Amino acid sequence: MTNAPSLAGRAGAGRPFPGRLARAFDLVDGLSEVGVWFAPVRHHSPACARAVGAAIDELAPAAVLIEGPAEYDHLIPALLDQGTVPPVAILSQHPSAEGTTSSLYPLADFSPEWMALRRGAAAGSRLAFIDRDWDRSEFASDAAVRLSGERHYHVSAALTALAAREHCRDADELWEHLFELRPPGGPWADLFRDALAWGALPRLEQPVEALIAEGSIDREAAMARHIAAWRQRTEGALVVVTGAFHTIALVEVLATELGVGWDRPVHLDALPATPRAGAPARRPGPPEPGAIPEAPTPGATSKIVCLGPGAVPGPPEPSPTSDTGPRGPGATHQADPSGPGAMPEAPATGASLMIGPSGPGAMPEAGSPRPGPALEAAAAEVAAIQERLRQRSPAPAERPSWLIRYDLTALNSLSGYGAGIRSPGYHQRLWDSQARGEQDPAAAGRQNAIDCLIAVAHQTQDSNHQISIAEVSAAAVHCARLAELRGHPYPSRLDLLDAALACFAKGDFDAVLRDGIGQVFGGNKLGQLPPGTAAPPIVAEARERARGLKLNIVDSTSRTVDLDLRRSASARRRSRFFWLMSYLDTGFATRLVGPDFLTGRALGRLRERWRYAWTPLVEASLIGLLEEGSSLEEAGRRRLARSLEENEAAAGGGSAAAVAQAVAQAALIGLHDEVWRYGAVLESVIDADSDVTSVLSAAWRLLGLMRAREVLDLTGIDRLADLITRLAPQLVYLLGGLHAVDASGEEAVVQALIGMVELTGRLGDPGVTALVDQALAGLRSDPDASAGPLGAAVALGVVQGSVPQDLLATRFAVAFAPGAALDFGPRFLNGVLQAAPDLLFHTAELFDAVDAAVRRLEPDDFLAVLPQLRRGFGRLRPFETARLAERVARDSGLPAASLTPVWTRLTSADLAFGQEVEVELRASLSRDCLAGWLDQAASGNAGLDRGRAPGNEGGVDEYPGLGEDAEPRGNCKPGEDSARGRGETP
Amino acid sequence: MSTEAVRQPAELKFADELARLAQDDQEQGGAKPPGWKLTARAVRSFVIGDEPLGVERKFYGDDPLVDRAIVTLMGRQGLMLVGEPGTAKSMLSELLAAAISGNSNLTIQGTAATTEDHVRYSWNYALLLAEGPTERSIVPSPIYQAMVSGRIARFEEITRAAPEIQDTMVSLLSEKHLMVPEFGADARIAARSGFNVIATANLRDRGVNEMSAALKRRFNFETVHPLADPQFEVELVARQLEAELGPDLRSVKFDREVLDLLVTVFRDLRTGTTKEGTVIKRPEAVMSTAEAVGVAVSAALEARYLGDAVVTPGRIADRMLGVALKDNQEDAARLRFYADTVIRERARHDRRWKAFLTATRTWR
Repeated sequence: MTNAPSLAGRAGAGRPFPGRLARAFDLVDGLSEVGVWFAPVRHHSPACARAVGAAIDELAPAAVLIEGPAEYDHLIPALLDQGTVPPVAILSQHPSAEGTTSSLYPLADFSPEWMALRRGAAAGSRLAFIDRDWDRSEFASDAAVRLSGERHYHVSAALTALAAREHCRDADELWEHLFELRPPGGPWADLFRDALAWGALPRLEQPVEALIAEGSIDREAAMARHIAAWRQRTEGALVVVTGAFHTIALVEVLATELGVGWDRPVHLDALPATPRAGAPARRPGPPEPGAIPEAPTPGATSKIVCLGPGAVPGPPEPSPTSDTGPRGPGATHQADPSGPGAMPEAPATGASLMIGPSGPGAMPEAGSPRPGPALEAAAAEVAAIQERLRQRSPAPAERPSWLIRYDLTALNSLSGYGAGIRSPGYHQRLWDSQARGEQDPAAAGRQNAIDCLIAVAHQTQDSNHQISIAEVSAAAVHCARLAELRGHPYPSRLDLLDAALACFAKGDFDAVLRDGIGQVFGGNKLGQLPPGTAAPPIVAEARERARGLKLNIVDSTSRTVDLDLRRSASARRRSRFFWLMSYLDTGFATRLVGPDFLTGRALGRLRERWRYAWTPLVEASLIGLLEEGSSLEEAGRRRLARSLEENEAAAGGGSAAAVAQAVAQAALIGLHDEVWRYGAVLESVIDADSDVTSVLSAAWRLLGLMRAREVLDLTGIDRLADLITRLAPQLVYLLGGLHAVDASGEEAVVQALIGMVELTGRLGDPGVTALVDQALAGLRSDPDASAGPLGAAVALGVVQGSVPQDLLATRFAVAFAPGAALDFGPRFLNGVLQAAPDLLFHTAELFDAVDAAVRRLEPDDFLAVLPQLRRGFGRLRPFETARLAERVARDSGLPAASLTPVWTRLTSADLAFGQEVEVELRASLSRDCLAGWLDQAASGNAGLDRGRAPGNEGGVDEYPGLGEDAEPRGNCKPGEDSARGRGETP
Repeated sequence: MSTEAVRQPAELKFADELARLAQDDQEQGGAKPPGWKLTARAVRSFVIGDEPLGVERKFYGDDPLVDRAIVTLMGRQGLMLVGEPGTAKSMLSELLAAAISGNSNLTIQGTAATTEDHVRYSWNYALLLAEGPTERSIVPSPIYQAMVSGRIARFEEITRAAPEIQDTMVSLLSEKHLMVPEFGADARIAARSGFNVIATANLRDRGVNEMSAALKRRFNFETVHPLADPQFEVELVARQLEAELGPDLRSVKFDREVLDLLVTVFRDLRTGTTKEGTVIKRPEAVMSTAEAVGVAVSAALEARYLGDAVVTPGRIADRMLGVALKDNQEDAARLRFYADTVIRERARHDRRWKAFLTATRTWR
């Protein structure tokens, strides 16, 4: 890379530009002679913004016309308000049957369009947007569309090749190298000329069909129509600020329409006559009688003939002015075909359509009998645009649009914004420092580089990847040398990033450094709007709902509110609003304490405590939601659908757990119709879900919802119960297939069994209970059943009363009998203790059988099964272990104390040490950004300690099923004290 | 050095280009960093090519990395090139040393047997006994020589050397002095302008000997990635094949399609994802472009001297086992899986893949 770059000198490395482009430069000159000055730009390019400003200052145009939907004209006064500070964006919404889509038109300080508006206003120019109204049909996706996408530049073979030759990694770096690093204050005309070529190079690769399909031709026709109309009704210079990709076509069609710039205009009369303003427009039809016969032109979709030289020589006639034509900018918004919608006073048939081998795109080979391909492409494009010009223009849209605050982060092309700029934060810093004018632009650029490096180092200050002053200074030297090597007057954005990469990342571009660089280069500036600016509906809706719920949002102060969910209906409404806003990641509200119906934690709590604050970031987040829906509920719906899709994709297909989670989430955020919609979905996936934990987890979630129905204001509880009843047979069926699992899978199956029995107890549905009893009986009689599940099934049967207690001892003795596999007995015992440890104390026969079996073991065998036994007995709680030890001691004739483990005597020093450890642990978790775990632990403690159902141990699901008020031993008969949840404190 | 040498160092192999670049520097009057033979731009042109000067491109894929590397070498930090094996790290290091110092031979190869003497200096013991520690009896290491002459020293595969040996570099790089206490209490060798160190480290060897934080701080790291563009990789393999075989290649029929197949297999196995996007089991073996060239050369030589002078997909499959996959049972199993699934599917529609599949029977 070398200094003083010029695209013209590079595109062909000494070769001339393609003929069409060379011709376009002539046409630009020709158009400037009739006062139409084109300013081809790249959106959000600081260099282009400076050039636009300089051009307007110099030309003092009568009007500045800007690429952007004409429907935005009514917002120009708001844009010019001194209280409006970029980044801001124009937002419009387009409701349709498939849902509302939003489009955004963002403007930064360094956007050429912003510069055009502000400098144009300062110069006393009239201002107008000239693009056609946004058309949903152009875009297949329903995501928000940011206008003016620039994908062509990133896929252009010409620009990619040029970038490779200049040793740039992509078109973006090439752009910066060729345009952004030019010294400010250079001739604006040169920059525009190069920008025209920049935009034209990818365009030359596009067939006209693609341009039509993507809507470019339609938009260019709309822009050409507006420009021509303005030219006719306005004296003085016009400055037209358009994306460089469109400029070459606009230049060609305008030159044709205005009849300037062509050396040898050629008459094409195969096109339909241009309707005079006010006259009904005609669709393109067959040629008039006597017209020259048509011949197909490659690439052209309209029927156009490129005639040879001399067909109708002579310059085009000037266009007459129509009395019924548009009369001023106000006319722009009329749906009147005689307004700007109609082609304003297009030249009469036979005089206007000047195109030919020497016309746009012509390869200027003298005497060439046929036009070259570039010429043909140009002819096809011009003809396609003209065809649209002859048609009646669509009525101006009457869609709502608003000016909104925007932030730099969203302008970042890396955030998915197609027309965005890389590193807007860097550009904002550079723009601000160059705009201050305290030093020359190159010095400001150098200073900015150092400031950026320091800022990155500052970002890493509190992390484990701190950047030292020495490293910053090495990086500063590095980027200055890179700039010198690459021929830049000051370090470019990429010189700076390269230096940071080389000097800060020691082989490990870790998250701290990435975030630090992201913060500085991405930027976080939030735009400002004057007070009283109308807000988009989703923001207005959120404000309205907050006010309706008597939440204080007059300022951005943080407030805390306690909600008594069981007593107050308004508290429940507030809670659901908070949950919705929190689910949508608006940053409005944070739950401090309270029951969590989604994960099933702390369900016994009666109150919720929330902290909320209405900050600009909340508004920005709400605006960001427009990509998902035009109202809070719609956004919530879409997000639910999306997260369900993601969960199911992760689960590899229809997952009952994922759908049940969506059901619970919908209930929590108050989308009750969605609860039933997903309920129906759940019904359809139950049979297909072959994962027992997923089905069990779904059942628990639904049960939790049933019990929380009052707090959630859920009606139709029977439907929930029906759903659980539908889940039960599937659960039984799936567990039926898991009788014979290997030792490692036994614990999970036992957990599922316990969970199923627990669930049945809570549900109290006789049909389901019978089904589960039958399943357990089947397991007990299955000769192939694994030891653990078998033990659990027998124990659960004893607890339920369907199996006599002595049968348990008998089965146990059989499990330990000689001839059985050595580990069968211990695994059986494990299953029993996992399901109902109390049985060991309540059933004397069992105790004796265990005691006898263990005593009978040979020393080697004992050692072999010891781990299994440990695991089994480890399920006992300390006081139970003590009881067991006492009993064993008694039976063995030993003093109990000799078997009771004495842990330690704790002193106050131990306590102090423990506290110290805790403080350090907390600090360590905070350092590792895991402080959230502590909050979770704090808020979830009660639920975890007391509410966890047996079925949810071992990773089945976190849902404990019931709250503190619930009986934690649902599978016990009243009065019995046997099976129960673990973790319950004695 | 005789021209029959199997391999010439870069400064000899590209002596003409270096001379042209030096002359161009003289004509342009560009400022050279102290101690450098060429300007920074000329060094860059030497590595990534300069068409008008007739300098061919030698390193492909990441021009900004070359810029950063050159700028690093102008400063106080050393340059650490890390990356998967076969990503041309050593070649880049050699080219930079040749262009900057005119000498790429001041090289230490890191191994488990590398000692501090290799990094600092050792003695000619006969002279040491006869004369005591003198300039004559000292045997300078490549780093010592580079410091004295103001040149670039290279430390290949630094992570293969023991950590305490690596750490010898810490003081050399920060102080730019080498203490020689045998010559007296304050005797030291001061590095002249132009001295710096290029080290290379293999990402697969990171576990062998991790670098200390102190040493890392003395280096700027650059990660050299495998080539991203498949077509370009095919092109590169073709060029290197030509360079390796020269006239031999002309008497062999080596279709582009076969080369394409070879590169596809290597890319699939290297990235663990097929070109269709399926995730597959990745072998442990290094599957770099350099290995692909090795397989291509081996297949071509076999065809030329032992076969019918045609390189077929089957011959490629044959050669892959010995040249690229070495002796690893798990890799062989992964390869079989790849053949049984991905290649079998491709073989349904393409005769080349069918031939390849047939030959993969030797992988069993």
